[in-house]
Amino acid sequence: MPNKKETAVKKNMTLLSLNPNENEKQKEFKSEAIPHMKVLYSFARHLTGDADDADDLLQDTFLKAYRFWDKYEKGTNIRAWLFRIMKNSYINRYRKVSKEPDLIDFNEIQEFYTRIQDTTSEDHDLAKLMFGGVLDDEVAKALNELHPDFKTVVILCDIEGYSYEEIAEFVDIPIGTVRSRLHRGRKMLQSKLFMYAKNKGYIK
Amino acid sequence: MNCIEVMEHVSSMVDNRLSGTELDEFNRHLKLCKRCQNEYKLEKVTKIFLQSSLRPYPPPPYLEQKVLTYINNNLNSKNFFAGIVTFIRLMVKRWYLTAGFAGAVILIFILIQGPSSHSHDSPRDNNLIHLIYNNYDAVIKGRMASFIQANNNYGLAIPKLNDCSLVGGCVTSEKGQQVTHTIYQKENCIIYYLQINFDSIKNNPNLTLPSHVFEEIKETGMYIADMNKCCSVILKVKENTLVAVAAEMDKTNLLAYLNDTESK
Repeated sequence: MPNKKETAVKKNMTLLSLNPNENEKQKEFKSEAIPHMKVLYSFARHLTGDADDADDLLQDTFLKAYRFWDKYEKGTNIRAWLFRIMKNSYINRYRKVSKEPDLIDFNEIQEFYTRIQDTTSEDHDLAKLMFGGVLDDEVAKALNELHPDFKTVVILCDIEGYSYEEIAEFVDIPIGTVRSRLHRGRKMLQSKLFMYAKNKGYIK
Repeated sequence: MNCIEVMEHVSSMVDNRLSGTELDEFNRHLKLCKRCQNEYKLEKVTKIFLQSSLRPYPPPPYLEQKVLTYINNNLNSKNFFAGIVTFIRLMVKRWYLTAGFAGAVILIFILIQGPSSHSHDSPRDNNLIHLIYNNYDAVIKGRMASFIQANNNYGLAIPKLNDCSLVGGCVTSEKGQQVTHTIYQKENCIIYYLQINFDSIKNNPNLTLPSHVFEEIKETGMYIADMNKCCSVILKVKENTLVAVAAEMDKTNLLAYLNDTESK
């Protein structure tokens, strides 16, 4: 038996019917766009670093997608279209809060790595030795501090598991740019995590 | 591959995207260059650590319904505002229609409202000052003109006022007391005179003045009413006759005008 919340929500959903054209548009939108909501939610959650902000971003994205549904070319990659809307919405919304990159001494990271690299041949163990003790929340914070251009490709590749080709289409950039942004994004993240680990005394 | 080319392909190597000649050249360089080897390994462990810390988020319950409701609510409000915006745009575009429409609205408003007027209504009780305000209200709204014409029984001497034309006058009985009413006009200003026997309102429960008014009249010979209305009322006692004057002018001006008139 549906609870009150479900009933209220379903009642609201039926209100979308305005006229025959609108009904057709809604039907298309629901069958084509809505199924991608779950993956977009995860992306929004990592992009914003906050559950409420992710909700807002997702809602804004789908509202814009619905409004500009006639601009979507049928048969093209709708997920890429939705990702682009979300990324642009995110940049417009959070442009002012992006931080300046920290000044990092990459030689220090190299030196530290040289010291620990011979202690184990396992990459997972090396990862723990490099950043061991850095909490998941701190990793999310470090990721969130990256510039949106780098953060986007790192999230899509390393967390969401998309291929370079998919990312290139989502973000609307060449594959070479995906590659270079991934390299730079990971490098910045690496230095941020290293600084966290060092400042918190996790590594010496 | 040199160091710069290796750095360009480091991500691809981390993500297992290199093959054939590219992979061979990459590995060959790494064997010779410790720094590039470290760069590659560091990027790899960074990716591993990131993946072990952060995973895709599962969607919260009611996500789809929540988003659809949000779209729905926004579209409804958007439709309302879009309607207003369209109407305003149309009005700007067809300015002559807008002007005509605005004129018609103003005309209808004037016809419904009539000429602007203000009221001097006061409580209908036994207070003589309230009666004066109400009578003045009746005078300026034209209700008293027909009454004066129908009761043109003025038997008393009409006070002469300089620079004023006499509109009319009559004698009535208010709560059993004889009262004379005279109306003058000075340019656009209506001046209303009421005369009554002063003794007849002393200790009269039906038509009287508040005690502080009596006291002030007793002491100074006059009373200037101050009821925050746009007309002024001045009461004066002369030879046991109470003369009350109401006019839409400042009380100081009215008093000066009265003193000037009487002196002439």
